[in-house]
Amino acid sequence: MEKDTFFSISNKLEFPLPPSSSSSPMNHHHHQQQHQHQHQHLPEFLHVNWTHSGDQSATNGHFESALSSLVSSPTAPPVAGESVVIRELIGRLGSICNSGEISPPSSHFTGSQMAGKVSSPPTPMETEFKTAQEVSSVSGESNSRKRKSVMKGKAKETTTTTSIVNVSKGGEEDENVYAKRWKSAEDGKTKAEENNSGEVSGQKQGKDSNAKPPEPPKDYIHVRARRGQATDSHSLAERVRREKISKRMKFLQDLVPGCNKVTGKAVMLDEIINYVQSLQRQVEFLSMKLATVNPRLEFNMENFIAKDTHSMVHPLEAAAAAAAAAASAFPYSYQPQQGTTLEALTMQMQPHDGFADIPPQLGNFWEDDLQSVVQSFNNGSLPTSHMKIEL
Amino acid sequence: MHNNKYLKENPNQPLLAYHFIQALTRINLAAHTTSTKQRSHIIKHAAYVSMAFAAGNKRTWTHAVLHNRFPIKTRFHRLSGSRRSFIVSLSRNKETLHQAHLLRSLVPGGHAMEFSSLLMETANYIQYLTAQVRLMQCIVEKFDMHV
Repeated sequence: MEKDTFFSISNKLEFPLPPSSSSSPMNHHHHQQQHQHQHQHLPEFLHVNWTHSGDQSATNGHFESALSSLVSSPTAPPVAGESVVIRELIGRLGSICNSGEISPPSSHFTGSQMAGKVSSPPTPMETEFKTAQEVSSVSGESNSRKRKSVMKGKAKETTTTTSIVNVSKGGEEDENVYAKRWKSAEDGKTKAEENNSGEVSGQKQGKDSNAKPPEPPKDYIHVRARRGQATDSHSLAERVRREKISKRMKFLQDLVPGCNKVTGKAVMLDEIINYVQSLQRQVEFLSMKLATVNPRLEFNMENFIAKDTHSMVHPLEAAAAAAAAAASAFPYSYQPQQGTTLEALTMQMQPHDGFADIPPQLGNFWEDDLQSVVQSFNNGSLPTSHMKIEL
Repeated sequence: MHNNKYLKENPNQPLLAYHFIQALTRINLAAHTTSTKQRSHIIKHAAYVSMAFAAGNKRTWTHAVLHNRFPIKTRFHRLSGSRRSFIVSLSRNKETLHQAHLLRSLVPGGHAMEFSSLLMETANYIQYLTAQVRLMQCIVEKFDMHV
């Protein structure tokens, strides 16, 4: 409803519309269209550059005071959605306009801007909505908070308000800088959780510190300090680190079998170390076993067609066995392309279905390191010391 | 957080199997010229390399295995190292520090990481180690079945 008043007000301004529509009925139609596309158009009103000529100094002052009042007292609307917040802001703007008594010719409130922005990419508006949402979420919170990234938080806080202030003061460099910084910060933001509602009063502080050219966005991790906990930066960073570590320990707990009931970092670490050691020992033992087993090259192909629990390995093992069995025909020269070696393997034996899966996956996996290793395997007669050097 | 996505990656089993078995076949071909002990060592190296290969070069531990020399020590050295972890320490911090040091020596490339990323690398390393062990067990089983 407040929106309607605002729309009607702007209607009174008789702003020039795009060439397709110039009469008032078209205005209404345009407005109705815009009603449907609310979210795209509402922020346009906020972004409007109301360039004020010199004779509007009186109304300018009124605008400033009204808008600053709007700015300094963020409402606590329900966190139902950004549209609610926007409507509130629009409503307030509408009230300001009502009392401001805008004179049509001097307002420069062009409808061409509105229409032009119908097809504009929605990203600036989306970001506008994001910050509006944050403002609403901010004002609803009451716990003590600590911003991990001071500049970012301040930029967010100031620019949501300054974007509205921009409406009236469309010229101050400071706010343009803030708007830019806000946009760049939006791009680089990873997780936004907090803003201090009390920081609105510290806006001026932020303005002073932010009077620099926009910096490249950094990848901050935003943290919220809980009630009754220390809020200095060191303890906060410590807490973040501890939470990260405990999260990863929990994941490790799932990996290591039989560690569900173990609690505590020290015992868990012991278990992990033991498990890794046992796995490495197993690899060593199995490799020894494979070394003793491998020289036996005689295999029957029918045995390998039998079903296996580990079905993925099965066709490849069959290939390996077949290749080993037909050692004489196996090509000795190692070729860097997987396709040729695969063909070599398949040539020796009956076609297996499993091979279709493997070649597409490999692509460019073969690197020089493994190639050299395999070549040294090929040569075979090198002593172990040589092996180490090549690895 | 993209870190979590890394943690949830499952080892590419067929790729692992392919590389390892290819290495095995190569080793088999030269079986007549190498002793069993030599061959076991070579096979162990092949296991680690194919493991690192299947995991890709994004991981710190794979990088350490493939490019630097991850000292793949023998069993006995390991056992002597493990006894140290059970020495009763004076404070909790000392113990966790010792455990962290031990873990770093276990996971390839572990000395160059801080603790939280060390844990992540350990998780990935464990995933690939279990896959490799399962693969080797399957192969041994296959060979044993068809004596």
